[in-house]
Amino acid sequence: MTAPAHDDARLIDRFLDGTLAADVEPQLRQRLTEPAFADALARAVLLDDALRREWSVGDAPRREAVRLTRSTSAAGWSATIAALVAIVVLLWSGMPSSVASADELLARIAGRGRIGERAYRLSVVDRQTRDRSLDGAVLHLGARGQYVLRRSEPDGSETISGSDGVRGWIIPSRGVVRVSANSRRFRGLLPGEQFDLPFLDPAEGLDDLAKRYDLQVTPAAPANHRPWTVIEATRRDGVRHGPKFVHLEVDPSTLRIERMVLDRLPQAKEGPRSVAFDRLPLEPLGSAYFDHAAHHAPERPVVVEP
Amino acid sequence: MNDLTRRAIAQWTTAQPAVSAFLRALVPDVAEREDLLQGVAVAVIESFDRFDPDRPFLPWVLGVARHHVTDALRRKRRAPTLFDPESLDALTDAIARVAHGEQAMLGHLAACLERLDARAREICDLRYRRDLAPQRIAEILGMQPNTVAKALQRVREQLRACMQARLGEAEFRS
Repeated sequence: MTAPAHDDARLIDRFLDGTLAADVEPQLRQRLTEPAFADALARAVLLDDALRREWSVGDAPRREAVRLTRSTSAAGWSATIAALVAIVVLLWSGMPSSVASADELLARIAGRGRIGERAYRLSVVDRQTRDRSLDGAVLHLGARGQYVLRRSEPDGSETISGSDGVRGWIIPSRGVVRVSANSRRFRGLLPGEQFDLPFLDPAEGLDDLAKRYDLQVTPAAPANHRPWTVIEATRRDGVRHGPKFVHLEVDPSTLRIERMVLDRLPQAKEGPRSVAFDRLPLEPLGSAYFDHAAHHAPERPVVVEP
Repeated sequence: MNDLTRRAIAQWTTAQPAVSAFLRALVPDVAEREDLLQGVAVAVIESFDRFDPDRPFLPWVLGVARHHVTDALRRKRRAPTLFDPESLDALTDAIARVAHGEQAMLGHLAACLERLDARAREICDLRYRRDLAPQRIAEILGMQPNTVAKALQRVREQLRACMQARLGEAEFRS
């Protein structure tokens, strides 16, 4: 394999970055008739697509190398899983010639690249959990990886943690604000997260569901007072980590998850056994909302971790 | 699940990164691409009984993808992609030729991403996670668009060199 000539490399880079001028497009088409250039462009789009997928799932560079190794066999690709979900639900429908609407819905959620801002109120739904600090906590979600979690401590004070998608941060009720270059640094406060179930992003969460859980979809039936499609997920035998059951209620018209229950969360670390997320109405937040500075006084000391 | 379907899913799973890259070349919009990818997956399963197992799978599945995208654009009354039929043939053939070798190399991408410096990561985050154009990235970072474009070019070159080196080491060890 030889590197493309300088001009060819520039042509390919401009194509990848969407900065190819209209009057240069014929040149790209003409160059493609030469196999060496066509191969170089093919390699470039394979890398570019892999980069976008690797990055879009969140904190890519800090993930283990093994993750992408899996992804080359397609298992780690969110869109791959989305497409596999499409296949699986196609099979569930029993007829390859048509896809049931609920099944289409599941595939569309899983393959959805961009989901808007959402807010959920958390509640601990089991009675055994002593630490109730997640009860009433509010979780705001933005673009991939962006979140803000506000939760009350037993003394009535409030702890806010979050990420702008690049940096993680935590604002305790007292003391310094801590900011980390690792966007996942403080996500352990979220239920399920400490078990590597990043339900922050429904698309990413559904990828996990598709891989690790048996899914059952019950379509919405407005006539029977069931406005939302219900997805029941049961963790497969032999799969470790994560809640045993996940219950999702999805509005088929918006693809938003209206209610989610993580049931029988592992108890290796103390935490609630079952947590429900109920969607809240939300005014537009804007990306600045996911920066720590939006949640504390400007004079508050901030410690930046590497 | 019958045997035909099982084989279809196994083949599709292997081919999907190449199909995804093919769509990347044809359709700029990320969400539209992902919808199309799902549609191609369904089309492949539906028509797998027409695939000749004595022939290679990837060129066939890329043909299905091409047909699916063309149909989808026509239904939306959208202009065809910047490729004409001849150049699209060339691109399809090239992806089929290089995909297997590239996927072995891309297995080292995550490890190589770890080596990027902070500024390169920031630019990659804006480009690949937030899907921003170099012009917009330049505005956010207070850089010239040309500098951003060059930085992205360097990142891709650096990653390719790193992956090739790691692949070579892995092949030498084995």
